[in-house]
Amino acid sequence: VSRPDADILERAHAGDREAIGSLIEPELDRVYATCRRMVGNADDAAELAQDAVVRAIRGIGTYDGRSAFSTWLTRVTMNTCLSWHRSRGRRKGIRAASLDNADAFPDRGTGPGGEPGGGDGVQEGGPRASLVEAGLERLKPEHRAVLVLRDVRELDYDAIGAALDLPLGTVKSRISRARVALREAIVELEAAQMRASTKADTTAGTDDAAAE
Amino acid sequence: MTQRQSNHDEGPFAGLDARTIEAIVSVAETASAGGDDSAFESALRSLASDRERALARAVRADRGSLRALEHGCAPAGLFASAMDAATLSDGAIDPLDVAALEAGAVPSIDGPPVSRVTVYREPVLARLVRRRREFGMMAAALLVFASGLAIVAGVRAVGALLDRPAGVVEAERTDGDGFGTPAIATDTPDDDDTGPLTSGAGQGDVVASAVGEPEPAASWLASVPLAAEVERVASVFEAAPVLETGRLVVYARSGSAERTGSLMAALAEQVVGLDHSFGVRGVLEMDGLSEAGLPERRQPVIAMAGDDDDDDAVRPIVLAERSAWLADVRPSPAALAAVRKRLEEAGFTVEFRVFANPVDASGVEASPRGGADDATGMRRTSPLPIVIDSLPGR
Repeated sequence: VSRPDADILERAHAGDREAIGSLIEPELDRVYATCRRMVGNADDAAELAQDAVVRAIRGIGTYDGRSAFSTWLTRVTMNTCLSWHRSRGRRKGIRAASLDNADAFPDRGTGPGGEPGGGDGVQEGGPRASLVEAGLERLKPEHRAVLVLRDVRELDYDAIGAALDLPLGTVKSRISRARVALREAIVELEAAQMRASTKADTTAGTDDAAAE
Repeated sequence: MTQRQSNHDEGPFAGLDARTIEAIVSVAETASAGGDDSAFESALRSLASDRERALARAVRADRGSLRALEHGCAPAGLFASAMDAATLSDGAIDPLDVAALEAGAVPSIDGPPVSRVTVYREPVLARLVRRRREFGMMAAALLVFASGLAIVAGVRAVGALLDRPAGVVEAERTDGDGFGTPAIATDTPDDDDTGPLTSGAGQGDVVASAVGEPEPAASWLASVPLAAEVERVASVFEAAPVLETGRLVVYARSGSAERTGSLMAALAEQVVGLDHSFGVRGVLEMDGLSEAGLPERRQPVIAMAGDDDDDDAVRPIVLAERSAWLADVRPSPAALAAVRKRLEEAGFTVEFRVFANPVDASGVEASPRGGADDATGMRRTSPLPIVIDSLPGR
């Protein structure tokens, strides 16, 4: 656990830009990665990351140095992301991706690893990654949060509990439920893509027959 | 985004009890050391069936895919812009800046040396002597300009006095929120069915025309206060954080209700701004605004000018038509500036006000084209009521 020097913390509390920067700047990529996976697109992630950092700067006086700064900042970032999801959920007209419409994921192919027992080859940027990203977007924000902290941020259960203010038992059960939900979402997405693919083949066959 | 909760009645985990599912996930979570999966393979053997083992492998593959996703780096300048935003909206000042303002004081902050430019200010008297020729020419030019202004003002004042009909007395009333609200008492003829000029509104809301040359309607409306007790914010930088609390309102005055209607209808059909800064969602009910803190009192009284060629005509007195719309706006100073610019371009007078409570926007449906929908390209937005007082029938 890395805690900042008392001197740097004191200066940060006094509003010293340089001291605040020395605490926050090394964490920026992690803040952005968290936001990126919590909201699913780069533009919103950049905006949310800025919001999170603004909140951290304004609230730096509440960081007492007893925990790692990165844990505190992760908590601020995650709270920002979850607030964003809450406010977004309250508004009407949120885009709902239809499970039966594979066109909602036009560039996502059928990966080999979706079915139980399927391959575990990880193809960065490929169909498998797209499926996992799409699956992640379908999860409830609190499920998404634990998976992002566990797999993207690679935090242990204790750190996840500290970041989300949850007891250890809740962290474990929530991760378990989130993994199941993600797997189910991926399987459904694959099934939808298969249906779309079959439909496209059938349509093409009918067109060919008509042409002949 | 569809958010799902597994019920395990169908899908890959169908028919498995909670304990088995937990065991599967637990096995999938088994840590591997330096790419060595032997611990995982060993844990797999604890599962009872091939199906469970296959599920554990699939869940582990999902983990691997998540960990391998590329997230990109934080945008360049993120910290600097966040620092600026935090400082701007807090009104806080960097302690180094304060230190630099204190003459002779040395900032007592340890750290690397900070370069600083000290500006030498030449005493005014010395500057006057050194540049007396330039100052002399400047003074002469100013004198000529001031004389010209005085002549123009004198001619207009005499003209106004000659044109003013008898029986009209103007007074200035201050309504407490900084607006100089012109009030009028007049001995209007008895057949004026609009009632006395001062009868229609609360204190401080009375406005009437100077019954001489008709002024542009918008300039009359500019003196109509929304309400003394509704706080104003001066800049978009102050307004942006308030927008996120749901208490910000745009108050605009228009010289023509017809123009107001057509502009807002046009705005409801599009998303404005290069970055899709805002879109108008629909009409907002006044009830919601009252609950948010818009005082429930009668609308301001407006005196309209009559026909130019009928000097003796009684000027009709009308009430400003108040309408309200709901926009979805990105909570940034730039987006608020875009809102203001768009309305000002249409000839409206615009200012930002702060209500005591957030406005309830839930009653306004999203527009058919999806005002807050990702499909339009709009990003995160906050609801922003736009209250417009318009002069009717023009």
